[in-house]
Amino acid sequence: LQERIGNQQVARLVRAGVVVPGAPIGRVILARAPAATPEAPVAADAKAKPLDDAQVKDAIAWYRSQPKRYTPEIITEIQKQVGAPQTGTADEDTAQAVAVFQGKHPPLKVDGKAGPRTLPTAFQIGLRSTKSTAAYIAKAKTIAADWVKLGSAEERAKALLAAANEQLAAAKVPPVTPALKDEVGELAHFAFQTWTMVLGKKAFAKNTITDDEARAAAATVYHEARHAEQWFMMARLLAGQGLKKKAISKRLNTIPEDDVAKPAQDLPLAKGSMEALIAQGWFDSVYGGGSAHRDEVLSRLKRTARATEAKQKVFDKKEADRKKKEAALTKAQDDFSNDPSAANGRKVQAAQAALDAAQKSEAAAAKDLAAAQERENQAIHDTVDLPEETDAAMTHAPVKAGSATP
Amino acid sequence: VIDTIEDLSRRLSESALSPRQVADGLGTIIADHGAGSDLVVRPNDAGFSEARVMRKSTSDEPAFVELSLSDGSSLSVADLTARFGEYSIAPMSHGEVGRPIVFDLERPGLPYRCTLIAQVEPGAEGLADAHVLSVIIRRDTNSDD
Repeated sequence: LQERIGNQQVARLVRAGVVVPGAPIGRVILARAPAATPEAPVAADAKAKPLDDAQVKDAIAWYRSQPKRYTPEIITEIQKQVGAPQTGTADEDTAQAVAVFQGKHPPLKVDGKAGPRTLPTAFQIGLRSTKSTAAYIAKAKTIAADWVKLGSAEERAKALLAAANEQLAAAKVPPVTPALKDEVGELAHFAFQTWTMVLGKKAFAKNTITDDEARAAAATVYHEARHAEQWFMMARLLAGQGLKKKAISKRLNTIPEDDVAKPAQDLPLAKGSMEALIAQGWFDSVYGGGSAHRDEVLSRLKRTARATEAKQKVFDKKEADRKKKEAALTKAQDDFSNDPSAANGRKVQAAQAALDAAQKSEAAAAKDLAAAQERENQAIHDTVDLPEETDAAMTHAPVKAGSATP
Repeated sequence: VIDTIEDLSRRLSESALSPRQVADGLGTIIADHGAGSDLVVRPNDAGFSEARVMRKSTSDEPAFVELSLSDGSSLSVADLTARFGEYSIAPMSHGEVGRPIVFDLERPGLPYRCTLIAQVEPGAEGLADAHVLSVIIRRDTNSDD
């Protein structure tokens, strides 16, 4: 989402001359591009202390305020993973080691709190694992190489989703079905209610594919497949709390009962486990205390995207008008060169005045467009900051790095 | 339009229809994308521009039917509420066109139960005057276990 919308719109503004590459508006987006994912427990740098005393105190208080979630067993697992002494108690060493880990894995916030964004990065399960990512990349490269041979948008989308489904199957997640739609444009989304991945047909309809397009298509499908895994984990979390398939589906409002809720019912997450805590983080964001914020952010994302499109149209019109006025001035100047009469002189003056007005109007439209873009950038930033989106977005870098055409 | 939705949900709830039988009941099949994918239908009801009968990925059974409304046709959330009762608001997904709301169309005693998921565009008063963009009817077996 971040890269596909963000880069597209930065490019649009660059084209429009509103920003130059590398200017702040671009950096806001690109600086948050996720880094490669980590893996095994890390050895903490004993000297590294990214947090000050107040931050340490705040982090320790945060863990201690949630004793049912951050049990001694969970704290021990975190300590082991980030290379802190395994005491089972959240202490300064733990907070500092978590902060070091966060600092190595942007866009995680460095605060020493192993919350819903940090835990899925520290404990890489399912599609976040190096093994799954590597297996998917290998398949994605073959699909990119066979792009022409596959023949149609449907077959290409099916092939890429089949590769993602193999990894979902390895994680015991029910397979997702593809749904190609013309109106989706370049974007995609996972529809949990029907367990389908809605993909923009445009990206799969082209008969040839560049390296960048191959990487983007592979990363998008994997990102959305990770959402499927998140939803299945949330269903398993509810199963671990004793809910049956009908109740699980209803609580998640709503997932297919036979094909998704029932398999989740049969694979409950153990209460108090790390997997349950990770799933709880996503559940809180989508269905719990974070749901109102999430709703506001996603609504704002839609609203601001529409506003940017509208401002872009206005700007395009003003730009075309300015170019027309420039051409008119050039013609008037040519006429004056050929015939320097007073009448032609007045025509040059009039054409110059019209161009001045058009330039002023274009500049105002560019300013409006930049303001709209800034609001949309903030909405994109806030969307990517949602725990489930941060997690899915962090699959991008390794997939994009590895899945070019061979 | 609303009668077609109700009739479809009743047929899906009553018996084990194949995806092709469901599609034939809705109109003329114009494309079949094969196993694990959908059948595309030109509906007899002109209120809909297209219907897609999606197969389950693991068997030749209908997973859900998606109905897209024709440009000229109008269906409001109030229409759906009047026919199917109260709805719940589902979480949004980024990239979705509208806002999803969910109606439970359970009919006790029938072998299957349907869930109606409507993508709606909120109006000036939010969902109270929202209009429906598309409708999905999903089928599950009618059991608690």
